[in-house]
Amino acid sequence: MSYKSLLLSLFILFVYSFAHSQRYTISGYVQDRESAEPLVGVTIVDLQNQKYYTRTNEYGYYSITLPAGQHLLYFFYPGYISHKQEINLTRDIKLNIVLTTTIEIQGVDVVAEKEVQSAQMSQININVKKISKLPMLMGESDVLKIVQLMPGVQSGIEGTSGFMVRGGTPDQNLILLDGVPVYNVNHLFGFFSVFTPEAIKNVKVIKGGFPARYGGRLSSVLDIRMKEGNMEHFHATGSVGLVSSKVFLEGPIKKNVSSFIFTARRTYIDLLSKPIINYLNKNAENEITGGYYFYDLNAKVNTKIGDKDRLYLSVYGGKDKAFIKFNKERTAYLFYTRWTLDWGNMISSLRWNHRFNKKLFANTTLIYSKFDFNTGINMQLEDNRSSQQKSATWILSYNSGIYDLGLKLDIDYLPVPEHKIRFGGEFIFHTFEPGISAVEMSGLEINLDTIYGTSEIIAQEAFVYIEDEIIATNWLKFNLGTHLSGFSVRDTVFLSPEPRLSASIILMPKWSIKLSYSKMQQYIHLLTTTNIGLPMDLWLPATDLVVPQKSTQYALGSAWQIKKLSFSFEGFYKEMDNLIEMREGESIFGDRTTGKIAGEIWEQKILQGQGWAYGLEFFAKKESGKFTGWLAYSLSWSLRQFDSLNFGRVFPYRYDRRHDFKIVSMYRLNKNWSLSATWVYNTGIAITVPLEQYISVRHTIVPATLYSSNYLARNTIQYFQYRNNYRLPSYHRMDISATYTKNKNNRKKELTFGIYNLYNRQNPFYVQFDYYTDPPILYQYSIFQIMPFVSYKIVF
Amino acid sequence: MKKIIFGILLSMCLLSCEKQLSYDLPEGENNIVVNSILNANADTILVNISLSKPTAEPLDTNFFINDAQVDFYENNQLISSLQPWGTKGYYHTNYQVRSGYTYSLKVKYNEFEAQANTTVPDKPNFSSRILDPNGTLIIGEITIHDDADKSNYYIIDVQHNDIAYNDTSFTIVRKDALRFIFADFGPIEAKLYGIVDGYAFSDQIFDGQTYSFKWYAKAGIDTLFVRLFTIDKNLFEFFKTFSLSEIANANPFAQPANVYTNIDGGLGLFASLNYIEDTLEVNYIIIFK
Repeated sequence: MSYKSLLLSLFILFVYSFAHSQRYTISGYVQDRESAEPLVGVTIVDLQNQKYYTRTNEYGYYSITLPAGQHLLYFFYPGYISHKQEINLTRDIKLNIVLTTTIEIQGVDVVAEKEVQSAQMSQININVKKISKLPMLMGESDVLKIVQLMPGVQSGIEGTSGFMVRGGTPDQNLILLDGVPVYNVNHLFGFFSVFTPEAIKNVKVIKGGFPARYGGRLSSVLDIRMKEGNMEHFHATGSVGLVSSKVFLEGPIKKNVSSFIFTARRTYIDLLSKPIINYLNKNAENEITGGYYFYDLNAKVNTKIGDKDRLYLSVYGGKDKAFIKFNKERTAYLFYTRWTLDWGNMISSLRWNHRFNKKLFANTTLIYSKFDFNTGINMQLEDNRSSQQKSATWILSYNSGIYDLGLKLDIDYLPVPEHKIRFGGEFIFHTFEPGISAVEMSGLEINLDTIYGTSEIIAQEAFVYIEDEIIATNWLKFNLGTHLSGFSVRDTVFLSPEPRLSASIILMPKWSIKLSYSKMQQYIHLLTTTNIGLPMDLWLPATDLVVPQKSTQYALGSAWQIKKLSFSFEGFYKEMDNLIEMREGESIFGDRTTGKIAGEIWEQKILQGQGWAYGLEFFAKKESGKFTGWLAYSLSWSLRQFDSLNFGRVFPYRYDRRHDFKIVSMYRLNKNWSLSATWVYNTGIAITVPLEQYISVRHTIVPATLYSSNYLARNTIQYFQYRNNYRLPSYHRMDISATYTKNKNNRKKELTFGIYNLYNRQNPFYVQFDYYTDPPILYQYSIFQIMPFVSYKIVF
Repeated sequence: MKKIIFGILLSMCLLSCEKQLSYDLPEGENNIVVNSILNANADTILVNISLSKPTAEPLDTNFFINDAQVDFYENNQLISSLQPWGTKGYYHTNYQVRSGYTYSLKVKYNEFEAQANTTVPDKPNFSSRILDPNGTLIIGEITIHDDADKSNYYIIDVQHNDIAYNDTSFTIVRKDALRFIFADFGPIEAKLYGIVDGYAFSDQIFDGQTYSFKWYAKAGIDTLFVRLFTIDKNLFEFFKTFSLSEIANANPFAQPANVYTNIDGGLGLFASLNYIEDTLEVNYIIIFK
């Protein structure tokens, strides 16, 4: 469908829909009874005419316009007791609803039916409340590891939080925390994510059929919303795990007007290892100490200003820090060395909700996001040999990062029940810092204080969008929209109109066929070779030499419901252009020939090519009853082609996993005990391994004038038929856990224990080819073998 | 409770440590390997024929082919069927290749049929001189006059007078270590590929122009041999990819690199080169105090 015809269809349907009879609007907020926390994504259905339904937006607000007369509204949210409200509609009504939590999920049938009928496809909402019950590495609940258990979402390497969606790369995922992009979501090189589950209210994953309000990445949107804080009562949660401890506080600042949340998490690997290091250093000549820790801090306050306005201020700060100290103290001289490594995010948003009237709702957000990586070494030498004491200092540091400052406006306009219109735009001021090295030397023969590397690169990114969720007939619903984006860097400007369409054809009340089309453009690239989210990976802008990545995705699927089971089956085909890969032989580090750092020559390190991903996804879930869980299976292909790589031939992407299978099950044994288990299986990743070797021309024929005895040892050439030609063994793992919950004296205590990798599968973490043995050997390193865990949580 | 936590921590440490496994690699394909570099300054054509081996097999297995049919063509005219020479897969004939001519090799062995072409480059046009013989390093300069009509590829090599060359025997006769230390290549530096005894580079940046750069050699030498090679694109691609593979393979932070081959139906390299040597006498200036 062309861009013009999409706009024309939108206009015709919009005009048509206004020619209707007398209607009135019901609007209001839906919130949690206990905490007064706004609930996102609550389904509201008119049971007398199920054609009409809506959902609360990201701020718990809803609006539905219905014909005059008698109606029965049904409010449903997973984990809450459903609410029915009879209404005789003779005028516009403001109706705020409070829902009460429940252990047993009820009323899933009606809502699942609405999900079946919804035009949106390839979207998964994750019930955060259940995250803590699932078994996780070292007992640390992790949102991203739950996301990895969804169909079409693949994990990276063992134990890490990085994920790939529908054949895309990790940098193609737009990860938003309260609407602010997060650039590095990893702690401890990816074993933990930066998101503290206790602070999270809602998680939404979109893999295709992207609504027009999202853009800037090719493969997925992970929209994470933080809690607002309990408006009624003060609550505290403390938990102790093997690796870290957490505290979560929430409560009213002014009852029913303003509230806050605060969470803090810190690991204590450094504290636990300190006595061991001290013991080892006790009799050592030189003192060596080191440590590593990370921490996260989340804080959020919000306040209602009158009936129509609400302000939110949220801040996240997190850091990973590692250090090694080496001290050598002798009579003649003293030598001190300190190496440090740290990276982290600082994210902040200031949001203003304003309800103009019952049909028009606006949200304005000021965003700030910063990710920086710093490493350095500081050496000091004090020479006491001569009568005149001398000292010398040598300091080397390297910094890189990305900083965003932006303003975003989203407007929801609900003129009639058949249309839910959203429009708005965003402007982001990016500052890229691709790498700066500083050298400072004093007290040596040469005194130096200088800086190498590229200075900041400034870029501006902006987009506007409009989308309309349209109920065309009883059997046809669609979401039609367009996203127009632009990017300016140096003297280059890129523009991209991106049409979006998703539709649902309702064959039966509980069976629909869905289809979607979306075009995406991405203006920032991640320079990486590992794709596991190492902190030294560089975020860089599209330039005239490295142009923006593009994708077009088509998806066709079906959703249906049988009793308490919901099913979906989707096929997708995605074309990607201008993907980036490192040139053969290039690394994320600088160039040893020229001595330049990666940030200076990154455009020379990159090649651009194309990719294709296609596959089928099956998802079955059960959300109600004592036994809940889901089953996800993906059969997919992900291929790449670069003119200057692999001699121009097509090759599989590293994470081209043919089969990806996940089962998640949770069973509530009684009011105290619940059990859960997960099993994952996926085809091994593709790596490049030379399976053939042959004698080099240099060994046999090169004229003596070109031959050096230095290279005699390297007289064979290792040859691989194509890039990523070898499959590692398949990955599979089972984890189990049991949770004991006890409520006493207004305190809830939760003890979770379990086993990660129950049957001790030795999955590859890192694989290395040793060229220097004869014959060469491929080694696998596994680090996470069978591992018990325990965590304890207290809520009061 | 403390004992329990300590016990869990201990068991976690013990159970989660690194474990190393080695894989049985599948057998790779067997391909015919043809290696030959034509030297316009020599009168011998030497070709080596062998079979590739699976990586998992040790290299000491005999893999040279001594009974292949090796035909050598000049501008599509058969010049000679090369004869086996020794038992290490060599075939040779006496013939001097010429600049601008295209040569082909056609090799048949059992089910394998391989062929490749190369066009011998013209001799380079360059001049060299010593700028400063008296420093801790001898500083010299090379000026290349590049031909504008085509893409040219070069290797620069500066050698010491102790070294003896023998282009026809292809035996290693050089006894001394490399004297070429480093060069200030200017804008072309990003395109340099460190090779055996020099640097290979293309004329991409100075196509059709005169281009000069400095070189530095160790002091205390009487005579220097400055050689500028022109090489065909095949040899340049080989050096480039071989150099990259040396750096990248086995480096977990780099993309692996395959080595270039231009053998259709097999592996290896059929390439050509030409060169001019300039002899520079180092005239030291002795200053008496």
